[in-house]
Amino acid sequence: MELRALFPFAKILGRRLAYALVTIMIASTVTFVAIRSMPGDVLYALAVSLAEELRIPIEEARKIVFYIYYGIDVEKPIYVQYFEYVVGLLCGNLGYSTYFKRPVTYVVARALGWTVFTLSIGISLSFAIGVLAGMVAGFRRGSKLDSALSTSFTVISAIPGYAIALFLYIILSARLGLLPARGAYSPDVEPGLNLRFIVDVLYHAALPILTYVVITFSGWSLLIRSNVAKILEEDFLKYAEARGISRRRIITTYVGRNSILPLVPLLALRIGGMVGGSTLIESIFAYPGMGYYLSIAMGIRDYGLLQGIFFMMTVATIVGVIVVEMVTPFIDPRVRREVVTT
Amino acid sequence: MTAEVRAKSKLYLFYLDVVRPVLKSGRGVFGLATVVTMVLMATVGPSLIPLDTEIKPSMRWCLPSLEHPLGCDYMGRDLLSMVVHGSREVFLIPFIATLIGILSGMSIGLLAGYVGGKARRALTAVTDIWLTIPSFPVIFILAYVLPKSPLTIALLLSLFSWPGLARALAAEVSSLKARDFVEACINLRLGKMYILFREIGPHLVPFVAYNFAAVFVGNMTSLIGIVLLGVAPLNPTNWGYLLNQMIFTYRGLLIPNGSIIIFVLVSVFVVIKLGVVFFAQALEEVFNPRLRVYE
Repeated sequence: MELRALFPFAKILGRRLAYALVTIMIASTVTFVAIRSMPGDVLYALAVSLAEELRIPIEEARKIVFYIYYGIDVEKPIYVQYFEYVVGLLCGNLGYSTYFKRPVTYVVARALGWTVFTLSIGISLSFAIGVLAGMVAGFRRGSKLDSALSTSFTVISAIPGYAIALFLYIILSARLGLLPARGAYSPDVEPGLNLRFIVDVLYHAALPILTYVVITFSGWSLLIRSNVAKILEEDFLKYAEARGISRRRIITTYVGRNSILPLVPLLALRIGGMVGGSTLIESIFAYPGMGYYLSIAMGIRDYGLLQGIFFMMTVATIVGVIVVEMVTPFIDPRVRREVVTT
Repeated sequence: MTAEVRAKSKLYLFYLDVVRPVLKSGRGVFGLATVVTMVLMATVGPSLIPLDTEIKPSMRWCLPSLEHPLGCDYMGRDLLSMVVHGSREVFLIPFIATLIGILSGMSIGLLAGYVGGKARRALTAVTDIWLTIPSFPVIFILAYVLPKSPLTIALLLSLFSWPGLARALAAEVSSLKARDFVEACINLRLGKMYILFREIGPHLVPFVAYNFAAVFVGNMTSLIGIVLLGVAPLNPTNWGYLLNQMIFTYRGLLIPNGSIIIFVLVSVFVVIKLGVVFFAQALEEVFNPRLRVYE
C-alpha cells in the first residue's frame, strides 16, 4: 500500500526528469550557439595578453582561453565540442567569468538565492490572492462588484510586467519614497541572522515581490472566476446543498478545490515565463538576482557568466515545475487513483 | 446584379456582421479605435509628423503640453514624433513573428489533433518542454549574438509563439472530430484535408483570431523588453531603446520630470496593448455565437 501510494509521484517525477534532460539540451544549445557566434571579442583581448605572457602564438593562446573559460576545445570537431560542452555543464562546470575573475558558480551561488526568494514568495502570494479575488467575483457573478473586479483584472493582466515594475518604481519609490529601489539590503546592515538584517531584506524585496504579485494575480483571478461560475451550475452542488452540507464546506471543498485544480498545471507552465521575466524586473530594480546578472553579463559581454546564469535559470525553472507538479497528487484524488486503473 | 453592387453589398454585410457588433460595447469602440490608430501611425504617421532631431537643452524632460503632447525626451526632442517614427518597427516585427508563429501553430495543432493518439501525446510532450524554457532570456541572448535583421528577430520571437495555440487547437480538433457532422463527412467519403480545413477549420476561427491578438501583444512586449535591456535596435526610435536611454543612460527615474516622461511613454504602450486585447475580445464575441449576448 505504501509503495503503491508513491506511484503517482514516481510517474510524474520520471516524466519530468526526461523532459528536463531535453530542456537542458535545448538551453545548452542556445548558449553554445551564443558562445560560438559572439560578436564583441572579449576573448581576443585575453588571448593577446596570454600570448604575450607565455610567448606563444596568438592562435594557440586563443585555444587555451576558450578551453579555460567555456570548456570548449576548438580543435575537436564541432559535434564533439558540443557534446563535451553539455556534459561539462551537467557536471557543474558552468564556465569562468571574465568580469568577476571567478568561476561562474561563485556568482550563481550568490544570485540564485535572491531570485528564488523573491519569485517563490511572489508566485505563491499572487496565486493565493488571485484565488481569493477570483472566488469572490465568481460567487457574486453578475453583481456590480463582479463586473468591477473582472474589468480591473482584465486591465491589469494586459499590462506588461516591466511596465508594472516601472509604474510601481515611479509611484512608490521615486515619487513617494516609501520603498527602496536598489539592491537586496542596505550597505550599512551586517548580513547574518539578526532581526535588523531580516527586516531590511524584506523591506528591499517588497518592490520586486509586489511587482510579481501584481503581474500575475489578475490572470489567476479571471481563470478562477470562470471556473467557479461553471461549477456553481453543477448538479452535485445542488445535491450537496440539499443534503444540508454547511456553506463553508461547500465553498472550500466543493467549489474551491475543484476550481483550483485545473490551474495547477497552468501554474507549472507559467514558471518558465516568470523566471525569464525576472530578467527585466531585477534589472529595473537593480536587485542582485540571476536576471540582474544576466543583463549585466550581456552588457559587458561576459559570455562565461551569461551561459552559466542562463543554465541555472533553466534548472531553477525545471525544479520549480517539478515541485508544482508534485503537489498535484495531494489535491487531485484522480491522479492518486490512477494506480488502481493502470 | 452587377459586380459593383455585389461588392457594395458585401462590404455592407461585413459592416453588419463584424463592424457594428464590435462597436456595440465601449471596449469594442476603444479597441477598434486603437487598431485604426496603430495602422495610421505605422503607415502615414511618419510622413505627417516629421522626426524631431534638434537637441534643445532647455527643453530636457519637459512635461506634456499642447506643443509637445507627450512631452520631450532627455535631449529636449519631441517624444510624440519619436513614438510615431518608432511604431513601424515596434508593430511590424511582432506582426511578422505572430504571423509565422500562428501559421505554424495552426498547422501543427490541426494535424496533431486530427491524427490524434500518439501524435497528440508527442505534441503535448514537445509543448510541455518548450514552455519550460525561459523564453525571454533565449530571445534576448540570441537577438544579441545573431546577425541583426528584422527577419531574424521576428523568427526568434516566433519560436515561442506557436506552442500554446498548437496545444489548444489539438484538443479542440480532437473533440470536434467526435461530433456527428464529421462522422457524416467521413461516411460521405470526403477527403481528410477537405474535412479538416472546410468542415472543422471554420469552428476554430474565433479562437485563432483571439490568439493572434494575444500573441501579437506578447511579442510586442518581448521586443520592447529585449531592446529595453540593451539589445541594439534596428531603429533608434524603437520604444524600447527610448526607454533604455531614459532609464539606464540618463537615469530618468531619479529625476522628477524624467519619471513622468517615462510614465507617459510606458502608458502609451500599455494603452495600445489594452486596445488590442479589447479589440480581440470584441472580435471573439462577433465570431463566436456562443459568447454573443442577446438583449
